[in-house]
Amino acid sequence: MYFQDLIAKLDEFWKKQGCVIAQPYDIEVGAATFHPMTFFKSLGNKSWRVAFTQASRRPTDGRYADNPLRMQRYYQYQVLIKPSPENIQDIYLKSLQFLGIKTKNHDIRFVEDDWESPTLGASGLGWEVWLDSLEITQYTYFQQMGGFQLKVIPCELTYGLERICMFLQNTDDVFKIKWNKDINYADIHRNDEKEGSEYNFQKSNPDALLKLFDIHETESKRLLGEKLILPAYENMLKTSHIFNLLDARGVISVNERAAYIGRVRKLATACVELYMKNEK
Amino acid sequence: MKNKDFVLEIGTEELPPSVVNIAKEPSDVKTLVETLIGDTGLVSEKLKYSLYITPRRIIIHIKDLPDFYNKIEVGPPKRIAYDKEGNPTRALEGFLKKTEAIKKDITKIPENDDEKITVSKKISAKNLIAERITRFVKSFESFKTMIWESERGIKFPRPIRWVLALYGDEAIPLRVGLLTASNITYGHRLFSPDAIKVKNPQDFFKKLKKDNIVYDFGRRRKIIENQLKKNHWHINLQLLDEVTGLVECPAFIKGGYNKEYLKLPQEVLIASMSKNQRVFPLEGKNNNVINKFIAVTDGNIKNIKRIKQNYEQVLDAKLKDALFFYNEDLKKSLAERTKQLKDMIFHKKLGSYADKIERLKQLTISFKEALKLTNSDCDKIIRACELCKADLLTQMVSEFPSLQGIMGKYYALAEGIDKEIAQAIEEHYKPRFFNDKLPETKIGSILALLDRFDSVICHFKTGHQPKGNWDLYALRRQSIGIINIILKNKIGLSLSDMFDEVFRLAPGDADEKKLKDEFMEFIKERLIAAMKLDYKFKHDLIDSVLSSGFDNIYRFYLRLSILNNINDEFYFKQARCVVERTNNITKNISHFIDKMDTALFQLEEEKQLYEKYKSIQDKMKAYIQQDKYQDATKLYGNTLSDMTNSFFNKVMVNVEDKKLRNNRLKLLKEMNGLYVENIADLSKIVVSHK
Repeated sequence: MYFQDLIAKLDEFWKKQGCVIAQPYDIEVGAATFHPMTFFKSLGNKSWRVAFTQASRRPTDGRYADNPLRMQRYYQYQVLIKPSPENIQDIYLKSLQFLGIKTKNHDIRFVEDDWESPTLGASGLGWEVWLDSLEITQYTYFQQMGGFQLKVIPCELTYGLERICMFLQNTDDVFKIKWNKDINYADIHRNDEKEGSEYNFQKSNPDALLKLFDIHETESKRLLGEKLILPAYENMLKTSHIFNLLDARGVISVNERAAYIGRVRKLATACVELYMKNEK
Repeated sequence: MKNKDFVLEIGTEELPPSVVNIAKEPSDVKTLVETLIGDTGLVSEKLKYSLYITPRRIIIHIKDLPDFYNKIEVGPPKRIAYDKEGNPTRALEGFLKKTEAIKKDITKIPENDDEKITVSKKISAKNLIAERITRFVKSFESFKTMIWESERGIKFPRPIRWVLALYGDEAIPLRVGLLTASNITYGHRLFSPDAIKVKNPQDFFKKLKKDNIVYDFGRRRKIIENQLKKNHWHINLQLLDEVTGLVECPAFIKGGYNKEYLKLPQEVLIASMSKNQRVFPLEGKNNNVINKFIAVTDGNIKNIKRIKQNYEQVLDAKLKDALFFYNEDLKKSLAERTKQLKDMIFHKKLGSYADKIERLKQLTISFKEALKLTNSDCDKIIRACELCKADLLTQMVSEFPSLQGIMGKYYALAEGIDKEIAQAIEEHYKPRFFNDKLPETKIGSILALLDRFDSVICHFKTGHQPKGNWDLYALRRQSIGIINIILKNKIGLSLSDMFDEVFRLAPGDADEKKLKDEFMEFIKERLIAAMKLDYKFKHDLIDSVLSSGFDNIYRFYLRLSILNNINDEFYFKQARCVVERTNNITKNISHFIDKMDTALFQLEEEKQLYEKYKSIQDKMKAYIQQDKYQDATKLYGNTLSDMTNSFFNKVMVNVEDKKLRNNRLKLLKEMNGLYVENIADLSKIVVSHK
């Protein structure tokens, strides 16, 4: 199955489950959870079902296109279903079968992994799903978002698209993935990975990044004052990504890490509070 | 009364291995089962029960459960329950109403007016369990729990999806959250996910077995262990427990990886394999890790070849990662990294790791003599201090925190740093857990000791002394390490001096005297525990030696062990007698202003006792200084025993004349002190009267 078809198949499956098929967010995020359609829609008591593809950036995971499984930018397929149905685990397994994975022929495991995002004040209980020891999905029942205890529990399924595609195409290297019949993953992204890794680890401008962090932090606070939630949130997303860049560059000491994470978290929590106020 | 088998199955989404591991501890099992059937008439010595846990089921099986039991309720005494005419009073009726009993349930009307009325009610086991099931579910709240139904719904480590409850062939419709129990179970999630109707407990277990579900934790573990043993596995019992908690039907794959990765330190290979895929590395003839592993899968799947290939591919990627970290880490020297430690906090109130390193260096210099260090030792320890925390900043230790120290060693060796120093870097973390080995080298032992003293005393200064169950900074474990290292290496250190010096170097302000007392008390508790558990010394002997101080832990130990060896000797008993008799009479005297005046001795007995006492003083002091406690006790007992008895027979101590009295007491107190202040308070030894 080609990479672009994998995405189409997942859209098809989750559309049948009643999910809104959304589009990826257009600001750098570390995980699809940061997408407003996941993050804000998890709060409050309204039902919600959404699915979409999201490119995620994790600067410290760059390997200069040298590692078959790890990259600084990769694609997640995100599903959020709220409230989580009784048979959600079965539905998930059916989604794998829908992709052509013969679940009876593989060692599929749900291995304890309680996901947490200190910056978003988010936490949940769940698993990494293993397919013959390869982690292919992060499966989480959120319990807290932005520091708030959730009352209606959503289930978040985050598929690692490259890994599943490698599995289906029986290849051992992400760059060998066929995107479609003519193009492969390397054609599109190998160079990006190399340049991205070089930028993240060696060539970024720490001074500029530090200044940008402060600018976006200040903007976010100002916009919260103006009661503009989404613009404030977007500036927070910027600070989060810039922190990741600074971290990869190695300019943040161990002590400072906690402080920076705290600053981003403060912005996220403020956004949540404002959002919850409006909901009422 | 009929007895039938009972089975309860709580079907869940995959439980964390730590929850599945409850089945490993018999006491936890007992507690859990008793939560369900409780402190009632149902629980008896004869009752046979089992707890089986897999990732998806918690099963309680009770054999021959009685269908009811007689619950005795105690009510008011007879004179309140019945009036003068023998009619029931409102009090009795209230009691009957409260316990939902009727007059027929009253066991018997007692003779005595003060005896209480009791009723016996038949409680059905099924009703009891239905009532107590919520309590049972709640008892899992000691683990991290979640909600999945609603905010007022039940909490459990993972969502509960079905409940089965059978008493004989009858399904008990008890309620767990929104679920009602029935006679339906489910097979293996992937191979037989459909509902399975079950007739009775025997049928239940038969059907699980047919599905190859090994529901018994112990048995499942044994199956896995046996297979691993056959293949010469690198023993990792913690991983074995975890893996047992990750499968319902264990099956095995043997695979391999590129020999190239064997150039990574063994510990890295082991850490990567156990942390990531939870696979077991195998060992070769010389007990070194070889490029083969065993994976435990869930289910005997036919597609073994493909699965093995997948496992191997993932392993290759993970080891490639490890190799990446290793090579990246080697790009910077340990000394360079140490410079960055000024930015790594040890604790927000205690400064950075750079600060800690400075303190350790200072302690090495301050205690050079006490620790009997040569100049060369000193230099090496200081060098080791400077490098021992650098690996905390490496990627490998970031990824695998358990490799701290170990990576420091390997990176030091790669840089060509002295082997002894490299080993000390690794060793200074030992002992890392209960029963771990102690450091083997002198440098490593000293560094391990100083690091722990620094941590413990600094945390005391910041108010982090352990309280009750709270011991966030593992100060108890570190103190036990201190004691063990001191004893192994026969180190003569003054705890008091060490406290003073670390306190002086540590940041912050605090009440030094108060904390020193707390610290000494804290060490004393650990010391007592160690002497009892590890050396099996008796409590009274430990107590008696403690009375003479424990500032120097090693010498304390010597006194204790030597006295333990000689406590059957006649001279020991003699010494004990002398100490006891002199103790009793001088108990309430704390000090003397006057010196002893030999001219005041009147009777022969006191003069002779004094002479005997004087004759052994120097020798005793010498023996004590040389830790020759057997000789000291022999000398003391032999010389003074008979004369002491004569003294007490003939001399009246508490005479009217204050001068005479004090003089006699002074002699006895000095005699007592010679032994008690330096060796042990033998009066605390309990003598068994046979």
